Amino acid sequence: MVISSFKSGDGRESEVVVSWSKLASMNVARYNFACAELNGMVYAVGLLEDTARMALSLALSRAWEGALLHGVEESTEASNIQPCGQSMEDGAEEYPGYNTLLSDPNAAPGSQWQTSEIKPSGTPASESSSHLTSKINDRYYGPILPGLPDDVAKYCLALVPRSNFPAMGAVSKRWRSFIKSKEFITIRKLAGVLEEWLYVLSMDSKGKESHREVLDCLGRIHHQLSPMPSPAKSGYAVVVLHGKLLIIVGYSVVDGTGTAMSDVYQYDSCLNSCSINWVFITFCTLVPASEVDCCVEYHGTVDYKSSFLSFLPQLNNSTFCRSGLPLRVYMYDLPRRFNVGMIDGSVSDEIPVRSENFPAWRENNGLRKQHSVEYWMMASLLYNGDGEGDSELSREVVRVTDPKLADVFFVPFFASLSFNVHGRNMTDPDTEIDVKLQHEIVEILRGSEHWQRSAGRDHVIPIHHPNAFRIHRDKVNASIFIVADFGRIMGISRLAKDVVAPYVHMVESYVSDNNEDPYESRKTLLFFRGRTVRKEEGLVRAKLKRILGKKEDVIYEEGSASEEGFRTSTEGMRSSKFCLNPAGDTPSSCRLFDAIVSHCVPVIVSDRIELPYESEIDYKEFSIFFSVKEALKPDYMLDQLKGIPKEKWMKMWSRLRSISHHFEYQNPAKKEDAVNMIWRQVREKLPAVNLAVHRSRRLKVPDWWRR
Amino acid sequence: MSSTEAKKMVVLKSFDGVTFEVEESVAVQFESIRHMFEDNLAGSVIPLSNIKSEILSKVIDYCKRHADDTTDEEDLKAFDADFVKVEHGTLFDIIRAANYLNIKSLLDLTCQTVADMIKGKTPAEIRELFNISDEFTPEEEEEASIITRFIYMDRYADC
Repeated sequence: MVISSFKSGDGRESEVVVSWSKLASMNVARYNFACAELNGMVYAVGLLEDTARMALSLALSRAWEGALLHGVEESTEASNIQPCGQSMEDGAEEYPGYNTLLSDPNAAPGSQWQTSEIKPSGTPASESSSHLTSKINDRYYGPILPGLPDDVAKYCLALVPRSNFPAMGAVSKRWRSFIKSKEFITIRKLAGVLEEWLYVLSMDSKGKESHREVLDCLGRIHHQLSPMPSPAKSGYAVVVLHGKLLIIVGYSVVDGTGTAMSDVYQYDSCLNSCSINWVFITFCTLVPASEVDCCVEYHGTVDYKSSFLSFLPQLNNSTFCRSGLPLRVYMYDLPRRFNVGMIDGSVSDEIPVRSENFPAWRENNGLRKQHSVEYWMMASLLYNGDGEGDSELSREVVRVTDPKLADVFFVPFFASLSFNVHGRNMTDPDTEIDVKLQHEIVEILRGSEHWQRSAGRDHVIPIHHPNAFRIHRDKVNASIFIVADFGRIMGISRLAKDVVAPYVHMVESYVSDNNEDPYESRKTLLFFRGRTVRKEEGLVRAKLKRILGKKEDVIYEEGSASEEGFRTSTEGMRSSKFCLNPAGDTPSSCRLFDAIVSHCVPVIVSDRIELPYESEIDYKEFSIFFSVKEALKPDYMLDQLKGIPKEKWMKMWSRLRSISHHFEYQNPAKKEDAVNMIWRQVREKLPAVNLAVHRSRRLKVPDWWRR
Repeated sequence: MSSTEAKKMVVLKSFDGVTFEVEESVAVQFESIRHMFEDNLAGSVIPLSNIKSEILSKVIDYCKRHADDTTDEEDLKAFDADFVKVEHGTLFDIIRAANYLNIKSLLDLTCQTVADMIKGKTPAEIRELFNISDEFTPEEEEEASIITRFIYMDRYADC
């Protein structure tokens, strides 16, 4: 539970120009809001992701009566807060003390009211300081109406009908700041020219804002409000302060996917041709089940009686709200030897891994890097950034410490690294260490109540390297595997259950790819550099060498995975139109992702390849596919590639530029980068996991679907 | 007060030295100087050092008319409407005088006139009318034009 207070001082208001503007960001993004205005402060009460099952309570402080922003007598009347659809608790109407706690005996099962104490987050702006501001402004800008004292000029402006306010707001800075001021409303009130308006903000069943209307006091529709900026908002709350609507955004929904927001928007009613004295807001939210859950009336500004709303009951029973939350992941606490101990062995095995002591990835780890998905996923869970900026809003995942709140459980065992570190050669005695770690992990999981509860179905285990967890992976294969492809695990892994993750690319991303004519400047038609002799599906590489080796415009050369080799590849891919990606030892290879970040259109010759996040990305938009059979027909592939018109290639190239960020691994993770995309894919597996877990826990006979 | 008693007179002197003799029943509307003649200073000259004679005579004219109980409502409205049909500079002078003398009804009338002048005008027209310097930066101008578009939208929506 977080309670925030928000101060709207004169200084801040002057920043606001157009009708809707982003006023501030709260200290943290959160879902589901209720808010109230009291004595010039706005209180927002919301839920953090990992406290989703908490019910709402709100405490009101009357401690600031001495620091009123706009000493209106009525404000000493305490606000009344009424939980959604419930009658007020006895005696809850007015508490004389500093804190008021409301509780609701009928709240959803398992919910508990929380007590919170509101503390000022800053010194409220005092009357004297706002006077000071206005004096400075007066001196700085000229008079409002040259030839008239400002107090008279202000009176003149206040008498103008409100439909002219937008035009007046554009006359000068001085006019604009006055029209937006609290003083303006006060003068209009004294002059008896204020009108009453009714604002209606409601949503349709898809969570989109369908109505934003302004009605007069007789209920006639005056006009539609201009839409709020940015995507459709859900779970937002509204409060009125100084004649402005403050919208505290809970979360936004785009195509059914929600993202918690920390934005606070302000709607300046004056500049969009309305003036408010009594604002009376009816705010309804409709959920997909089409229950009207909360509907509340709110009076603002002049008398501070408020009733108010909560969206809470939604959280426990609505999948809609759940889908809006980041994936909640519980991470096992494992000794360091299972993960970062393999990168930095100098720290004692028992010291818990934290964000502060998480070792950086060593770039000289060479080829180990391409399977380091496990490292980046762990980093994303450890990350506890201060919640500022883009990264917080775009996180697809949040770590929870209470396993009861978890959607899935992450097993931070670096299985790929373990294979690479503990003996490269499978006959090496060191591989025993790898096998032992695998065995220990299986024991730890089997002993865990979380594992037992779901038979591991809701566990996430990265096994990106084809040989990761190779001895004991079949014992944990009910879990969601994070894999590179299914080449060596066809028997124990399935596309429906597991998540395909990209390799960590080895060449440097072509971030400065701003060439005006990339088609012409990329001279090579088709590029391949790598091992031409591979096992299994990779046999195609040798055959392709015979077909392509001597062709004009084609570079097909033997190369090794050395520093020098990657430099040559980087240059080759950046100066080629198409990059060939034949199967390697397994259907996939790192080369595809090197091509993508080099914006070299991939030509994929691998019949049984599976691709990352294919539910979200259509690879045909930026890649060419040939079957092995087609690729081996002499000249067929080259003729096809030469036949692709420049426009089509340019389209693919620009598509590559727009999707290549999905293939970047980094810490902290960024919006829709590889790690966030992987977590999003994990989330897609949840419904099937839940179905299987729920079924298996009730079955009294063996599962008849199992064959 | 008996009707036979001679009407008490107040003498006002304008900025440019012109004196006006006004009945007290009219002068009581001058809230801010009322105490001067009510404190038994009848007969003495009250200097109004920031009001020109031309304006003061108009203001007195207005107050005489409004002090006259016999004038009916319609006539008074017509008088008011006519009274404010002056050029912008004069109007502002009257407003300043009304403000200085604290004549509420005259202030309301004249300020409403200014408000009516603002009504329905574009920002540029308002600036020109009142000689307001346009102190917006280019960015602010852009914002202002966004607002102007809102005006247009609203008018449309009102239809």
